[in-house]
Amino acid sequence: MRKPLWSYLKKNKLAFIALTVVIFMSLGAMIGPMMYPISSTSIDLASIKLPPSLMHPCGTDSKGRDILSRILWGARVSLSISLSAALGSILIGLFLGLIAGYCGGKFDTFITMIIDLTLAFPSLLLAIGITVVLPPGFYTVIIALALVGWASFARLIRGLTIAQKESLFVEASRSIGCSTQRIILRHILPNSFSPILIAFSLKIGSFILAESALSFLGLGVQPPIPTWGSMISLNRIYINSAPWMIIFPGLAIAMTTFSFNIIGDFLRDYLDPHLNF
Amino acid sequence: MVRYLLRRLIFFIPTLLGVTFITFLLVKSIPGDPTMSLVGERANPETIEVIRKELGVEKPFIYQYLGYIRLLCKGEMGRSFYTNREVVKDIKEKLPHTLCLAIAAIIFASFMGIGFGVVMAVTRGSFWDRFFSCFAIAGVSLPVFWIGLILMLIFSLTFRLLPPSGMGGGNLIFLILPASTLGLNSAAYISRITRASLLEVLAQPFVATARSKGLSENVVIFKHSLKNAMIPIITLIGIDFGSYLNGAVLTETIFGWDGIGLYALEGIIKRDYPVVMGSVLVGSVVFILVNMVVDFSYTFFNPQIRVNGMGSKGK
Repeated sequence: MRKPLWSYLKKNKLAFIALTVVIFMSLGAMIGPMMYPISSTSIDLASIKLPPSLMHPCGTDSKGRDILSRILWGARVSLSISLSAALGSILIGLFLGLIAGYCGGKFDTFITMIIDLTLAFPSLLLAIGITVVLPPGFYTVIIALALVGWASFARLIRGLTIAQKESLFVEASRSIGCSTQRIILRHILPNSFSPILIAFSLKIGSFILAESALSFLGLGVQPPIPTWGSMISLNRIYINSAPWMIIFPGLAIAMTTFSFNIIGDFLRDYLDPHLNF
Repeated sequence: MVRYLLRRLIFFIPTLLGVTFITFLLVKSIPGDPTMSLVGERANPETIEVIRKELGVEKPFIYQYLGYIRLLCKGEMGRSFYTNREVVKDIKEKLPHTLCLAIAAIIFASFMGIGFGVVMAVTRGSFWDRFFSCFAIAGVSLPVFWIGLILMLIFSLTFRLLPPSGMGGGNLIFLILPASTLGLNSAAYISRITRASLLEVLAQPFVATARSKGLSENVVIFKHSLKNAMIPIITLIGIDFGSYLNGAVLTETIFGWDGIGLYALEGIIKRDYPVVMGSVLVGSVVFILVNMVVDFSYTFFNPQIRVNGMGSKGK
């Protein structure tokens, strides 16, 4: 008998902290920019390169813009992009993985080939290539990440489907005359829920990293909208004189990714105790 | 064994064709005309026409693709639009730099990862296990470019121990920072998988037998158990080594390392088609080849795996 989630969570302090960080980050992303008094784009030449203080908790950058305010905006960009991209790749992965796994045959061979092909590419280079082809911006980054990330989901879901296809409960539902659609959507899909949820949480973490890498290279969401990656790349030259300009955005990336990874691990422990890594 | 090898090699060709096709498609759909950025706005139409013909950009897509494949079969990759140097020559010059960086990084990652992984598995459930596990997740979560800059800030700008960037003409001290930056994420992954894999092996009866024979704990862990736990670890090391072209784009940008990642990135930004095609192709070939070598290494670590049957799923 599985313990209730809450009591399990209370015992695992690290997961508890991670969940708090994620909730705070999401709140910060949603209402932070409205609540925080200083605008992320207002240039204030009287206060350039100020170290962290009460007025500017994370300091200011070379144009006097408040770094905390920019981090909050960056959270908005980063979280919404990685969440949508992870959802997008799950949808593609579900669609192709379920059909390929259940139907088998030539279609399965074909899909498996495309999956292998996508995974044979260096993934960051592929994402860079896609962001260069499409006009730069918010949706481009989502599309690029989803097009790179779907393959691992499709492979996972295909494997899960094949494993269940021959199982007794699927055979039983087939024998009482369930349609293929019903078997896939009502029987196989709900039984694959836990591994997909775990992979989803871990994927968000890796997409946050990928998004920041793209915007670090100047291929992500364009200025004046601040992103964590572009804050680091623009302020790289001040690393010696004003290190807080790159330390805080990087901490934001690392903490958010860390939390999603911890939550993924926690879900794995909770939902699937047989796997122990 | 030979049949398996042949089958893998035959599968290699369509994968490669697919990779070239997708790259070509992507590169060709990049907006903007390379001729215009090559000659500038004020060139006369005749010059533009001559250059367009020279580059072959006005022919239909499929002809261009077939032409490229023909070129590849001759062992050429065309010339860079900007420097007019042969891409093959450039890659031959830059690939060893990236390879050197990748090898240093993977050695660093393997030692750190397996070392900490063994410590975590042996001290399972203790404070140190939790401490390093937490560290390992943190290591997976750090952005490569940021940790590179932070290491640079600490070791070269504050304490002035290591050079901040550049290649230093083969001086190994220049390799330390880029290699540890590139290897850090893998080190964390490897330690996690080592822990999990070793724990699984340690629970098996033959380990209890080895212990009850009176073998020392060191022999039990390193000689009996670790070797049996090696397969997932080797897989991960192989995949990471092959994918260093990814991390290398960022690491090479930060540390000014003149390798294939930086070359590819500059090619993409300047819309230098042959350069992009060449470097992505070389990267994918390395990636696929490394994965094949990894597959074969399984037989060394576990002779029970019969390569003949590996392609089919036993029911």
